[in-house]
Amino acid sequence: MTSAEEQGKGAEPLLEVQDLCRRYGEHVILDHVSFRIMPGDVVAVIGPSGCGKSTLIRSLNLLERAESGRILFHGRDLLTLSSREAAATIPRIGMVFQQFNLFDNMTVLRNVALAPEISGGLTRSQAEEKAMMLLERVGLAGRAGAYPSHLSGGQKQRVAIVRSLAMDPEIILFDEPTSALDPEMVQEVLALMRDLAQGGLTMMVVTHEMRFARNVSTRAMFVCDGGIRVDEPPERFFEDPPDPRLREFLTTAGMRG
Amino acid sequence: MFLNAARTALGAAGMGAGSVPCFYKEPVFRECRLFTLLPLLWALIFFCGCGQARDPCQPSSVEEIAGCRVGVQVGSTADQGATALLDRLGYADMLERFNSSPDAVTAMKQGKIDLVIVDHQPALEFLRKNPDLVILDFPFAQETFAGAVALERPDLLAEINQALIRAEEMGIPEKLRQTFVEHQGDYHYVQKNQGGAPLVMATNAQFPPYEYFEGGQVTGYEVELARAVADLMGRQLRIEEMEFDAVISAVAAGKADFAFAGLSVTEDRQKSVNFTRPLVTTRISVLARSGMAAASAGEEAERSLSQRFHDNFIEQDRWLFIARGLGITLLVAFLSTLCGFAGGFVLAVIRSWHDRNGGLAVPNFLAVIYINVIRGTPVMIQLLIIYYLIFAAVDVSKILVAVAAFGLNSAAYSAEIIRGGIMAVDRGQFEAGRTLGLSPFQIYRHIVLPQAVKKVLPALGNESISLLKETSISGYIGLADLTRGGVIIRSITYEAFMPLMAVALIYLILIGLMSFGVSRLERRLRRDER
Repeated sequence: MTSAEEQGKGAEPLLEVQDLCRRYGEHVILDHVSFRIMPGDVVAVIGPSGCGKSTLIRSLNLLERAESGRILFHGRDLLTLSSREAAATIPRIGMVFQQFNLFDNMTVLRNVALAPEISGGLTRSQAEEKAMMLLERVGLAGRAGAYPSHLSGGQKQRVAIVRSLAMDPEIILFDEPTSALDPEMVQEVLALMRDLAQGGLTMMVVTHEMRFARNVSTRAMFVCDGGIRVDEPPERFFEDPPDPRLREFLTTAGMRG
Repeated sequence: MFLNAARTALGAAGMGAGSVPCFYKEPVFRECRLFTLLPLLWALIFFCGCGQARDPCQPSSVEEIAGCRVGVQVGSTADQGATALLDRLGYADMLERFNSSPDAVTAMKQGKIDLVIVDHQPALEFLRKNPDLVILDFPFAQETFAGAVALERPDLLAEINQALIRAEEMGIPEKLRQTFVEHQGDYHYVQKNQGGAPLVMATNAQFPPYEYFEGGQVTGYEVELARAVADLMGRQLRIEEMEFDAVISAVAAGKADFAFAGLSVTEDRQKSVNFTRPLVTTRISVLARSGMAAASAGEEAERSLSQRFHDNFIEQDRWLFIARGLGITLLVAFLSTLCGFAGGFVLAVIRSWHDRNGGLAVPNFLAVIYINVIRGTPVMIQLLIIYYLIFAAVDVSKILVAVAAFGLNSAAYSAEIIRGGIMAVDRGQFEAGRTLGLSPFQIYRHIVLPQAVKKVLPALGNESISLLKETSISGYIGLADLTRGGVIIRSITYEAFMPLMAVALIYLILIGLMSFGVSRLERRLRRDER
């Protein structure tokens, strides 16, 4: 697999982050973070807990408000958009949460069809048809009428991914998508994500699943102390880590003997 | 003053009143203290009255009233006279003020007080129905009753006075006096005028023979005289029955055109209303238990339950007071619950929207003030404020007033319940909505509110249960609700047990049904979640 840099040469970056800063009081979470994501990139974000991975990914779709810097999506800075423009742009950046956050008061089908219908401009039947098609693709059509509380964790996360896909996003952000799952459910979710990556979807995945990062990502980022310390193709990242902190981290995580 | 008010309140609470007499006379004291250890016997005291065994207090002059426990109707002339007298003699704490004189008589029959000071004619009526009472020989005071008209309406006052003079020329008052006071002859004034602008009369129909209930209708000497007056004025009489202490303020506030309610002319009242020509000249008398008290109390107990049931509910269709009252209670509770939920929903959305999304600062500020004011004042005061201040100039149905008061009150409580439900919806639900491009409004409408409502439905059910109970104070604006139905029967039959128990039982059944509904709902919601 070629590196993202080569793939994206001459192309516009999908997402470009410049000098992003975010602090909670004295504590600096993001310290002048800059990076770019090209179409087709699958970026694995790895690092110790509490080092700003989640804040980073949640800043990209404005769930967290960065204090300074720029987030250019197709060249337009999200931080300067009016709330109406932002509402129109944000769904093109999908999001999958650790805790699924399915709408508890709706069936699986309604969960998926709601946004396309009320903010995506489809009619109800179009939206539900589309939702049904997507659910079939992930093998969950049979659960379309079920409420989230009746689903297993793995099923919930797959529905959440489908819900995000229904808005035709150009990139999906995954915030530790398998961390809340029982071990036996992890694989079904990772398999779906692998399929999506192979289908050419641009993804940014905060994860502790080293094997997934190693095998599926096109780039791996090591985020530590409010900054991106390493941003390399996975081969280099895992086989020949250029940073002593990363080496230590990978050893602790059992990825290096 | 305050002590007396507290005592009256205790008297109303029933149980507490059972203890009051016990602390005045030594011999009974020890016995009563023993009773405090035995709640069951307490109940016994309540029903039998532990003062029954005592010697009746029978003074032979006004001054000798000092030392007796005296009951009066709150706000009556007897109240004012007795207050002045007992204050002067240093026995102010021996005066108990009751909502109506029948209440005072009932309390005296149960031995809670020794004397009832009341106008002479009502005293005679009480005597007629209660042979175990006596009227003491000396009059407490002389007095004159007159009608009351608002200060701002001298024209109406002149018209009524003119009509009264013509009625006197026609001999109507004398004939009515024969019928109602002397119980001779059967003259009744039947109103001829069914049309014409309504002339609203405020009264308290617990003052026989001047005004009282008979066969579910308000009647009496002053009531029929008022019908004659209305006829002579070419108007149609509409009677608003209310608590006695509300009568004067109803006239002063323009809620009623005039009042005939056995009102004595006093200086204080003349500051709020003008008085008509005298309607009645009479005296205030002192009622006491006769020596036969114990014996006739025994007879009372011997009267079979079915006889008492018959007297309280079947005779003259008295059950209708309760049935109609139940209808009004249900209507008021239902409508105010709806208003309360709707208002509470709006307030809760404003409050939580502000907390979650920012914005709406001014509406939120107003909502916070509203909720704190409503939750920081008794609903009873709110009811009176709405009736006497807010709707002062407007003639609206009392049901509407009650619905407004209880609805506005419930809105504040429901608001906090619903807001709790909204804030309990997980943050992640908002975030997921935002990442899908939904506006805050869409998130509220499709995701947050449906979940919040489901969470708070049982709590709202409980809120409507308390609201139903709260409506029992509607009598204070003269609305004949379920509680007042019982009060009216009590004022006719002088029996506390049957009407109070009947009313309590009906509330209990209603609330039992509602609680059952709420717990069923809770179970169903829980099951849906699994």
